Amino acid sequence: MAQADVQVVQMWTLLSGGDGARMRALIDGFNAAQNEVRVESTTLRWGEPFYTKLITASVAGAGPDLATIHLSRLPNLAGGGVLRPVTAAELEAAGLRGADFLPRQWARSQYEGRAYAVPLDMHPLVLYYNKDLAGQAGLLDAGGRLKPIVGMDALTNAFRAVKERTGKDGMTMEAAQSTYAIWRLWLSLLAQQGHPVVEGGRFAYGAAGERTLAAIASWFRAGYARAGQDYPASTSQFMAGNAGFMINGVWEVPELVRGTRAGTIRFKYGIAPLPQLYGNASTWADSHGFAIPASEGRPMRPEKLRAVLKFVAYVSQHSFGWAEGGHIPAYRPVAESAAVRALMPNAEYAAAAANVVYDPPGWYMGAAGPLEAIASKFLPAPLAGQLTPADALRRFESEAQRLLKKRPPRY
Amino acid sequence: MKHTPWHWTVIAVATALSLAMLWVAPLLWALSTSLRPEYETILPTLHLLPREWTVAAYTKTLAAGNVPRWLFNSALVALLVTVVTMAISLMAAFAFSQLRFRGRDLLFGVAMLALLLPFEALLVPLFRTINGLGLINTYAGIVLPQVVSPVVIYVFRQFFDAVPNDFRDAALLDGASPLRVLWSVYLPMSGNIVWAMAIVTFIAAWNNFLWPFIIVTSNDMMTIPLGLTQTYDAFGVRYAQLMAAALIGAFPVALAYLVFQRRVTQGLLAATGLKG
Amino acid sequence: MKRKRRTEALSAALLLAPFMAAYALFFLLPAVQTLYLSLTESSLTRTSAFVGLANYDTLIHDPSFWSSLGNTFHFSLLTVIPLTALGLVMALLVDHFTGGGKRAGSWLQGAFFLPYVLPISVMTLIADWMLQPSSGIVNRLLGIQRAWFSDLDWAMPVVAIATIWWTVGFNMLMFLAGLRNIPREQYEAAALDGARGFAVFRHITWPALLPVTITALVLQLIASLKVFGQTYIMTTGGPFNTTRVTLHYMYETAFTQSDAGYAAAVAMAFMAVVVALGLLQAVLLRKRK
Repeated sequence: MAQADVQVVQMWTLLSGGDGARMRALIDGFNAAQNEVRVESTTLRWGEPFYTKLITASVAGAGPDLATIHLSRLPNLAGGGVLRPVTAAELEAAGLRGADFLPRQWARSQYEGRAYAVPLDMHPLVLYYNKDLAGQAGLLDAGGRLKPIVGMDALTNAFRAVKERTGKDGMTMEAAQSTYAIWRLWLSLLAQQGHPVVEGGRFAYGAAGERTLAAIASWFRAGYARAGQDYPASTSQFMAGNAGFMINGVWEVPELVRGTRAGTIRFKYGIAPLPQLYGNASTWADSHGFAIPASEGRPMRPEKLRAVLKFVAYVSQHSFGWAEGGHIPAYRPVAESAAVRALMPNAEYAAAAANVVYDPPGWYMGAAGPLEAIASKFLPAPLAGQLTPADALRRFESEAQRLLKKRPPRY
Repeated sequence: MKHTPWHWTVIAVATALSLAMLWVAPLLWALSTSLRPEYETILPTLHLLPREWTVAAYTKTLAAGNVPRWLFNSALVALLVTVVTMAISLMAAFAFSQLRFRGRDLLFGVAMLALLLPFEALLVPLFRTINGLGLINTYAGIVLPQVVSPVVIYVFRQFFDAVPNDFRDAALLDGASPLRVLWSVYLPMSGNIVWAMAIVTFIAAWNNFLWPFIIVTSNDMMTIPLGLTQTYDAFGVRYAQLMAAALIGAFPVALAYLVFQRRVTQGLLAATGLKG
Repeated sequence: MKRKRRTEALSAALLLAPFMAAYALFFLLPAVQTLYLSLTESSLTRTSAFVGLANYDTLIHDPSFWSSLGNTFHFSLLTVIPLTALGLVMALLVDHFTGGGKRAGSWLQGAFFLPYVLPISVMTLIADWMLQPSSGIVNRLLGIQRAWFSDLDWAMPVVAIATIWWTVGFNMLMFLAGLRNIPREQYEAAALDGARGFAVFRHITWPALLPVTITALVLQLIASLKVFGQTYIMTTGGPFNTTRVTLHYMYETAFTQSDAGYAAAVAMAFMAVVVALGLLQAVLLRKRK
C-alpha cells in the first residue's frame, strides 16, 4: 500500500468532554479498520467560536473537509453558502440513503430541497435524578423510579421536598452568564404551552414568556437551586450527590455510567424525560450531523468526497458507540436495533424522542447562533436575581430585534 | 535623595515590599498550582505549597495539546515580524531623517496617522484584504499586517536626527549609497536602540492575540496566546494543567525579558522617554 | 546639486517603498474601506448594496452601541488614573532603591514589569483560576463564594484590576525615564536649600515629571479605550452585556452576525471617539501645563 494513496480527511468538531472522547474512539476505529482513508480531527471551542471559525474558514476557502454541526444551524449555514450540498447519488455510492435515517432528523438536514448534512443523533433535554435523595424526599415509587410529575407546581414541590428533607439542593442546572440551559428549558416549556419563540419573523411567546421565565427563576430565588453556576460546577454538584435533580442534555450520561463503574459516583441515579409541566410534554432537542464546508473557490475532488462519505457511513453504522454517549442515534438500522432499545440508561428516557422540538427555523436560530447567543446573555440574569424576567426579556428583544429584521446573510 | 528622613525610608521599604509581593504572588500561585496533582487543586482546604510535588501537569500538557506546535508558531511569527519590522522601519526612518525630498514631512505625518487610529477598528477590511490575497490561515497572513509599526519608525527617526550630520556627509561625499551609509555608518551606532526595539517588537508579536485570533482558522496554525484559550476544551477544567500550559506559554518571553531586562528597559525608555 | 537632490529623492523612494507598501495595504486601504463599508450592507466577505447613511442612522438609535460605549468609558475610568498613579509610585520606589550600589531597584523593577511581558491569555488564565468561585484562592482567603466575573458590581472592576496588574509596568518605565532625565544638580541645589522628603518631590520631581505624566495619561486613555481581549476572554461581555465594550460589539456584529457594513459604522464612530478624546485630553492637559 503506497502512502500517497491514502486520502487524508481533515475534520473539525466542536465535541468536547465525553462526546469528544467517543468521537475520537470512532475515528480511531475507522482509521484502524481500513487503510485508504485517514481522518484527522481537530476540536475547536464549542459554540460561537466554532461556528465563527467554520464560517470564516469556509468563505476563505480554508475550511476542513468535514465538520460536525448542529442541525439547528442548518438554515444559517446552508442558507449562508457555508456548506456544500450532498446529492442522493453521492450518498448512495457510500451506501447511505435518506430513508436510513429517522425522518425528523433527515428532514432537519434538508435546506430548500437539498441535503446539506448527514444526521448523526438527537439529544433532548432530560431530568436526571439522584435516587437516594429523591427517595428520602418521598418522590420514588415502589420500584425505585420517579413517580410521575405533572405540572409546574408538582415539579417545584419535588425540588422543595428534596431541599427540606435532605438539606441538599433540590436541583442543579448551568445558570451562569452566557450559558444555554435556560434557553433550552424556556423553549421547551413555551412549546408545552403551544408558543414558539419566534414565528413569522416576530417574537411569538407573548405573556407566557415572562410567566415561564419567572416560574423557573422562582426555583433559584427560593433557594432550591444555586444561581450563577457554570456548566462544570453544576454537573459536578450533581455527580457529587449534592443535588436531587439535574436538568441537562443527555450528553452527561456517559459520565454517570463511567462514574458509577469507577465508584466515584456513590448514589443510584435515574433519568426521566422532561416532565409535562403545561399542556403537553414538549422537550427541546438538537442533533449533531456531518456536513461538508463549501470552501469557496476550492471545490472538493471526487476522491476526497468518497473518502469523507466513507467515514460518515462508517460512523453511522457504528453509532451504537455514539448511543452509549447518551444520544439517540439517527441511523435507523442502529437506532431500531434490539441492542440500542435495551441500552440502559437510555431506555429510561427513550420516550422523550416523541415530543422533541427544535429551535424554530430562521437564519439567526440554532445552537450558539446569533439569537441564542443573545438569549444566553439575558435569560440567565433573572435566575441570579440580576434582572426581573420582564426586564431580561425586554433587553433580549431589543437587542435581537435587529436580527429578525435583517435579510439572511450570504457569507 | 541622599538624605531621606528615616520615616520615608520605612514607608518606602514597606510599600515596595508589599507591592512587589502583590505583583509576583499570582505567578507564584500559578507555579505552585501547576506543580501539584490535579485533585489537590480542589481540596476543601487551602495549601499554599503542593503537598505532593509533581511535574505531571507539565508532561500531560506537552503530550496532550498542540502546545509544542503553538510554541513553534509563536516563535516563527514573532521572529519574522521582528526581522521584517526592523528592516523596513530602519530604512524608512533613515529616509525620513537623513534624506531630503519633497513632501517628506507630509508623508511622515501620514505615516504617523496610524498612531492615532486603533488597528482593532480595521479588522473587517483587513480580514477581507488578507482573504483577497489568499493568505487566511498562513504565516504570511499572520505576519504582514503586524510589520506596520509607526512607533518604531518614530523612535528610529528621533535617534537618527540626533546623530551629527558630519557622519552622513562624510560618507556620502565618498560616494556611498544611502543604504550603504545606513548599513555601515548608522546601524553600528544604533546597535542598542535596534536591539531594544527588536526585543520590544518581538514581545509584542509573541503576545498578539487579536489578529491571529481573526486570521487563524485551524488548530495547528495557532500561536500560543490563541492556543491557550482552547485549552479549557482540550483538558476540561483541570487547573494544574491549565496553569502548566499558561506558564509554558509565558516562559519564553519571560526568559527573554529577564535576560535582556536592561535592553528592554532602554528600548521602552527610548520609545517613551524621548517624547516626554 | 540638482542631480544630487534627484538621486537622494530616488534613494528615499527606494528606502521608503517597503514600509509604505505595507502601510498602504494594511493600514490606509483598510481605513478607507472601513469608511466605504460603513455606507453599505455587507456580510463578512460580500458587499451587497450601497445604503448611504442608513447604518449611521441605526447606530444613533442603537442602545447596544451606546451601552457598549458607556462600558468602554467605565473601564477607562477604572484604569486610566490608577494605572498612571501606580506607575508613578512604582517608578519612585524603583528609583529610590537604585544607585549607590543598591541592587534592590532592579529586582523591584523586574517584579513590577514581569506581568507586562505575559501573553493576554496567560494573564486571563491565571486571573480566572485565582477568582474561581469555589476553589479560587481569592474567595478562599476571603471565605466567600463570589462568582466575580458574573457579578454585576464586580465584573468590570475585576477586569480593571487584572489589567492594572498586567500593564502597569509599562507606565512605570515611562516615569522611570522621566526620573532619569531630571538633572542631579537640581536635587543637590534643593538639598542645599534644606528641602527634604515630600518638599523635594513637590518642588522638583513632580514639576519635572509633569510632561511624562501628561504623555502617560494620553497614551493610557487611548490604550484603555481600545480594550477588547480582557473582557472578551474573562467575562465574554457579561453579565448581560454590562462589560461588553465597543470593540467587542463591533467584533460580534462583524464576525458572529456577519453584518460587516454595520460593524464598519460602529468602527468609524469608535475611531472618531478615540481620536477626539485623545486630542481633547492632550490639548486640555497641555494647556494646564
